[in-house]
Amino acid sequence: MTDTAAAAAVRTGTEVDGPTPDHLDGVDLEGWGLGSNNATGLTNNKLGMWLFLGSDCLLFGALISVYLLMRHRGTGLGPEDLFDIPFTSVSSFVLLMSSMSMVFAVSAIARGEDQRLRLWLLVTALLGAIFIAGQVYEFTAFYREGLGYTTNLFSSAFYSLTGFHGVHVSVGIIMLMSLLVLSLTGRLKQDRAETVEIVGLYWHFVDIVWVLIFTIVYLIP
Amino acid sequence: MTVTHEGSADAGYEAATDGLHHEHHPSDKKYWQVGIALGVITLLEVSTYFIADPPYGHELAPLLIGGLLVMMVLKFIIIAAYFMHLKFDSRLFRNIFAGGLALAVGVFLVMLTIFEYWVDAYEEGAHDQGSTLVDG
Amino acid sequence: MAIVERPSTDSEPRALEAGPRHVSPDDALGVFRRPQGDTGWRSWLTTVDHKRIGIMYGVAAMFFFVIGGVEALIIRTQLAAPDQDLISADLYNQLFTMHGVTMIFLVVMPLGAAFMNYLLPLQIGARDVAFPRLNALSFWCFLFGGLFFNSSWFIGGGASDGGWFAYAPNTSVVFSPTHGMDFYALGLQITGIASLVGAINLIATVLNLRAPGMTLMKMPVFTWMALVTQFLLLFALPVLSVALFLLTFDRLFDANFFDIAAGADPLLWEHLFWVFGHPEVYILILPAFGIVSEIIPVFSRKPLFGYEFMVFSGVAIGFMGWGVWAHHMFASGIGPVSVAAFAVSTMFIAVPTGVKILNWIATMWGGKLHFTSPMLFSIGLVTMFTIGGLSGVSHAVAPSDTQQTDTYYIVAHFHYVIFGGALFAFMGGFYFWWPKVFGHMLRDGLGKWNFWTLLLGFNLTFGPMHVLGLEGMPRRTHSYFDGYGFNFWNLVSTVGAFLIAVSILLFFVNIWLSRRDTKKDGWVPPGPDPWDARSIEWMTASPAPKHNYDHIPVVTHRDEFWYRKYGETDDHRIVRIASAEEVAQTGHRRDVHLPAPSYWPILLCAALPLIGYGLIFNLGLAFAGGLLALLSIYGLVLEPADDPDAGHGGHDAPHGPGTDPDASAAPPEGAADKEATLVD
Repeated sequence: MTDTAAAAAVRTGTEVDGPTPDHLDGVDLEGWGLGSNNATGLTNNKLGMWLFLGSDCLLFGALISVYLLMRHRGTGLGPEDLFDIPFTSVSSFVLLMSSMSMVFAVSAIARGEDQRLRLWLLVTALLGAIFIAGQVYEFTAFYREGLGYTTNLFSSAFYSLTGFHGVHVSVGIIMLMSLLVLSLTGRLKQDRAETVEIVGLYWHFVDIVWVLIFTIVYLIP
Repeated sequence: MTVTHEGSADAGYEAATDGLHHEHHPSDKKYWQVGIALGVITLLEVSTYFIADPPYGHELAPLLIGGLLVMMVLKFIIIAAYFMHLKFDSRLFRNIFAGGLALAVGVFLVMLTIFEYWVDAYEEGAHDQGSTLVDG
Repeated sequence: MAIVERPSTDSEPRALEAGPRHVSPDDALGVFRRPQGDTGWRSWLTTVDHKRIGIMYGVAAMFFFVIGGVEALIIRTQLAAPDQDLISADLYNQLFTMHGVTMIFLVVMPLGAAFMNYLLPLQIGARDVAFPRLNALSFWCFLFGGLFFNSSWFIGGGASDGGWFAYAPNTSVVFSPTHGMDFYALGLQITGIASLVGAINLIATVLNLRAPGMTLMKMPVFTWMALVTQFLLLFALPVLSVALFLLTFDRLFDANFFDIAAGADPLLWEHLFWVFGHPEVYILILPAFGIVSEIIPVFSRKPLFGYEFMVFSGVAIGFMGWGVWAHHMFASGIGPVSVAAFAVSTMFIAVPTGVKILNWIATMWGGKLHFTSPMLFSIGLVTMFTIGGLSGVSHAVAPSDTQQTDTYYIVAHFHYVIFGGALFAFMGGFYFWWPKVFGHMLRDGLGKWNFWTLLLGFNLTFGPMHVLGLEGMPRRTHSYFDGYGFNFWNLVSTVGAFLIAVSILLFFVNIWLSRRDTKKDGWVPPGPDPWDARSIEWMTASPAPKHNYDHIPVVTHRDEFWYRKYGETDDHRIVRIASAEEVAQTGHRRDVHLPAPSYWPILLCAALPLIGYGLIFNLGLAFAGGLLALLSIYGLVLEPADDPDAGHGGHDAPHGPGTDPDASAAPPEGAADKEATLVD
């Protein structure tokens, strides 16, 4: 929150309700609505991303439940026949590390360190790409062992859940690369740090979802 | 790869982000600690795979599953609190995210219950493990 | 958020720009010059003004209302007498499916969106929504999704025919071989994007952009109900999205989600659909409850009774609505424990709605009632929704529901709550806010004819359905045999349906005539506040100026506008202390910067039906659509600012050229400072 809004929130006692008329000194009325000069002191973009992430919880909740229901129904190949836990563990670790590099990217731009930002953005995107490569490898292996998308209930559910997650990761990689290009062309300066933070939120969420998927789908027998 | 922590990190951050400043912005060192914690938990999680073999796998299953779920939740909270900054940001973000999450978990737990998932899963698990304790 | 008053740094106010502001082609990343000006039909295609978008939602919704109404009339004609074969059973399936989907997704939801879009910024004292271009995106997505869905009448072998609830596996390729259900699944995905993006937009708007001093508990009740509705949309739509994806993958790519032979559970679809479907019905009705909560106090000359209760009951409905979905599945074999649990939760949810009914009645009690058209329609909601609610309570009793389900008794129930509830409120809302939106009143005399014919026609159509249902007439069957005792009431129902059509015709005639009235000699514009209303949207000129408010109002009270017009004497009498014209802002200010128009939203939305058609007919087309979508997303996000003040000082910082360079399906708006030419 800005100093103004934060202070106002303290005076009114609630950060969602914003300044009241008795506490309007220091509040920029002419620029009301710009940036974080508003009722909550939070920017629209960041609030928008959090709302989207809240909504995405329902998406993955539905997909995970469908998977759980389908996992052991039907016939044919099942998880116990195919999963390579050590391999997927490494994959998970890679994604976890990418969250770390993302955090450093956000720190970097906050400090105005353009080169570091670009480095960490690149590292994050690369780690994400390695994760995707691992997924592709894993799925190809399953496919060669006879598990296609339409093979049975488990396969449809499994590929759909991990596929949705993979698409989320891929979109994230595109966003990161776009940020990198923007930075390289001088359009992502320190004053736009929040943009990187918001992309970071998305990226961490995607990582969190994998934390859930890895445990529920792979580790829990 | 080390990251040197320039001394004026917090001040720079404050000046940078449109006056947005987070009172207790974690240092890079703190992030490393968090990351290592996450790595350790992951190692623990993966280790369950290696001790979950039959024949006593099925009896251990509730304990292992419980442990896995706890670790999963812990990782979730750590990433959300520190990497996503929820611990230091406005409560509104936390409430929105927690709301969506609680709704998802609640609704789908109920749905799975109606499908008698817990009964089926337990029986299925016993069957897979070849245990004779539960009728297939 | 780029709407800002620029303080004059000169001693005089800024000069008015003489003509369209020059925007160099370099400013636009796209191929075409950045759109300018706001006259002409092209300006509507590129507008990001919430008021224009609201109007477009309303017009589109009424267009689809006519289509859905014609579908209903054909149904009713077929059912007017027993053993008829005016239309085949297959066509009948398509008709009731299209009618249901159209009315719910393309009429009632967009009508709610129309009112919420137009009113929310005005009611909270803001100049526009948080993400104006995403707002435009939502509208075009809805329109193109609706057109895409309705094109199933013409291509693909047949319109959607699986019911609006589309139970799988009945809607799988085996049992629904035409492409109708593909249009259903993909069409609703597209409109789903519209609503999801809209939800993010409006929640951010209400939370962030309230005028200083407007705490949450000072917001108008309509704003509150809209906020709850948006949260419901935010969380319910992803579940529908998953269900539709599963259906699409089954139909297009042979997945196994609903393939019983492969071991799938036939109830999976039902659960996923109704987890969305039940919050959906609250999405339909809550904005209507909000509208009525605004109208009744004005025409009772009393504040709303129990504001806190109204707010909290709305929030309670929002929460509890997530715990009742399986009451749509009482006869599906979910088992007695589940049935009992959901029966109890369903009974509980009647309570907050009952609270609202009581509060509306208590508002009117002891008030000085004025039975204008808006008031009549609002009282219509209170009475008709109560009837629908009572039949709803009888559904909650699971054993009796087992008799009622799949009969016309259910059809009666939901038409009483959706039509008698939501639609009556929207009609009232039209009459109430018409002067604010268009600057002239609808004729009140004709409005009363509109109301009474609608009330009569509506009750004639759906009242008898209670009887028919309890006598055993099943739903979704294209004809009924003679000798069952269904003949008379079906005929009455059909007559009623045509009377509804007459009533709607009267409404359109009213629109046309009242517009003509403005050209006559002696016509006097209604001014900012023709109804002597309570909330601040009436505190600005009619029609609302493009920039909404000259100066963002500072709010100190609930019903702020009323508070500024009226005071209380020592002996507690209400006296007028200012006229509306004295209090209302003139709207004459000229130096307010507003977000610039953009063609990216409509372009992005045009790509979506391409993807849809492509997935059904030709994957190459889908690919092309995807490419266009990707390009449009980049265009939207990277759209540069043309604000000459960008870079002055640091405080504008996060609003330089597009922030998020790319995003998934719901991109948060990169709030670039954009200026429009403020053409008068």
